[in-house]
Amino acid sequence: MLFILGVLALFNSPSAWAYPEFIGYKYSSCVTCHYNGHGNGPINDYGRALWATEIAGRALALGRTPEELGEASGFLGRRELPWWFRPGLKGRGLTMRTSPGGDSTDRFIMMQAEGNVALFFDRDQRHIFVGSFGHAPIPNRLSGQPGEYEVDQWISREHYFRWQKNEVLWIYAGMMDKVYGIRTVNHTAYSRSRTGLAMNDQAHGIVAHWIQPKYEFTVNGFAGNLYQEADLRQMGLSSMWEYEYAEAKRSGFGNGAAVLAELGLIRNEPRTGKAQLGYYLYSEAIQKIARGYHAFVGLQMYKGRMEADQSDLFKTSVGALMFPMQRVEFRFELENAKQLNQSPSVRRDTWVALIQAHLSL
Amino acid sequence: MINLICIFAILSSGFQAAAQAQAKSKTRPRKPWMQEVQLGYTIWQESIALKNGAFETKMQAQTQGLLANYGLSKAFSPRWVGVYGIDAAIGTLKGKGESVGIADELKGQLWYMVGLNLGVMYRTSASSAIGLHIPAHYRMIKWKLDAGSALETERDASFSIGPGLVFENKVSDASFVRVAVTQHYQWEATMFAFSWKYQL
Repeated sequence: MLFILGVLALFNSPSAWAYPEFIGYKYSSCVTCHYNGHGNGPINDYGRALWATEIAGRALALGRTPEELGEASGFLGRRELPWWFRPGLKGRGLTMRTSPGGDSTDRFIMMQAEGNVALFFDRDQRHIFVGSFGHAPIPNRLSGQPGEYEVDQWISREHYFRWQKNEVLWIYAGMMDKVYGIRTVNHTAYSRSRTGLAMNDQAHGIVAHWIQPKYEFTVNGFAGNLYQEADLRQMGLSSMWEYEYAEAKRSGFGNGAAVLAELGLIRNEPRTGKAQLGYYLYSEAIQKIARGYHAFVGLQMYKGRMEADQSDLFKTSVGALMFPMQRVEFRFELENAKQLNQSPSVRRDTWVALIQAHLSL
Repeated sequence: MINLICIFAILSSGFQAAAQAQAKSKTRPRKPWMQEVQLGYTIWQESIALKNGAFETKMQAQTQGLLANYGLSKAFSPRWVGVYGIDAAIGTLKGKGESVGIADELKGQLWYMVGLNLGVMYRTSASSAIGLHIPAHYRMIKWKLDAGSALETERDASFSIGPGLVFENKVSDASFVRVAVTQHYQWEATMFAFSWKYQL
């Protein structure tokens, strides 16, 4: 049984937008741009237009006005699709090298190659279906063990119905990401990888999401991934409450700059053996260098068991997040890892260079 | 007479323009020097030579400590800011000899560090800045060895300099979170510093 408790702070405003890092652009709710009110997954027409007109760099805009860019931001560019149908395609590839400058070789991972669709059952989009299907790579820890694990490489990471009951209440039912913490895109972050929230950890469940001008409250009951065997399913309940204090604190923020932090406790109670209490910290600061181009630094910590003889894992990263044009994202990150412990033995610094390309049509 | 008046008028207008320019330069608000203080945590790892009789080895050492800085900054354009500061730090170091011949374990070794820090920051927005700095650091390690130990340690007092990247985000009117990553040349170490900066 896994019990996790997180406290998160998104300085500037309370909820994530496109990426949570872009909270610095002062959009206060994910549902503005995403079909999923907690972010992730396909973006809606407004989100596409916003990416084109506010986020992406201008160098490749070929002199088009923001209005023209917004109008051409759809799946087929300017061509209008039926009101009830919004398709999308996503591809995300990663090249990584450990100990850059050393003898190691590059490793390429096609992390995401999928199609998605949003179907609307009414013009007000009060009743919609969102689904995706595509290729998911076998995790590295399982790929060397043929026969022992049956891992399907063609999966749907999400498929759910969304019902907007009224102006403040949204209900979701189906398979989707669990509602918890900052939905950073880095699925190897301790806040995701050690809490059952990694790239393929979606679960079937029901979400009720209240959105008020000053606060948001969500409850998520989940029964695990029903396509998995019963003993692998992660069942449980999560809730999240966000309060916007930003109006009073907003003076020093904005223009693409934001600071994110999440501190959590993890109580892991295995079927055999003692329960373990650990912690994690995720933090990141980001700033816009020029339109479409951002620099960020990150600091993460993790300890599986809060005991003196256990190491604290300590990870620091610097990087760049680039949107040269709508539909295209590049991310570069240089990550340093260390261990903090009582032992006098010191492991050498571990460095990893990561380059990620993301195409979202 | 008319000519004289004209000349006087021309001279007068010239003097007036000069006086106005002088008055403007006197009334124009000068960009002030800003004082700032920082307090934070620093960590880095480096390789230190150990010697015991005929044996020599390296020790991978981990250094952690508290870092303080007092700085003066001045904007020399709307975007660019020069920063001049002094650093002071204190902490402990640990490590273990990497060969069987010298497998000594050293823990809690106290060190002090002082330094100068020059940098330039580029304001990416009203609430954020990125920059480069070159700290020059002088560190003394107060090695505490077992009585009678023949172990000889390197870097009792050492100097290192190197360039670094600085990243600052504002979190309130006068407070910033600040991350600096510096590649120290002589110590062959990547120094990470996470600090809170406050503008006085």
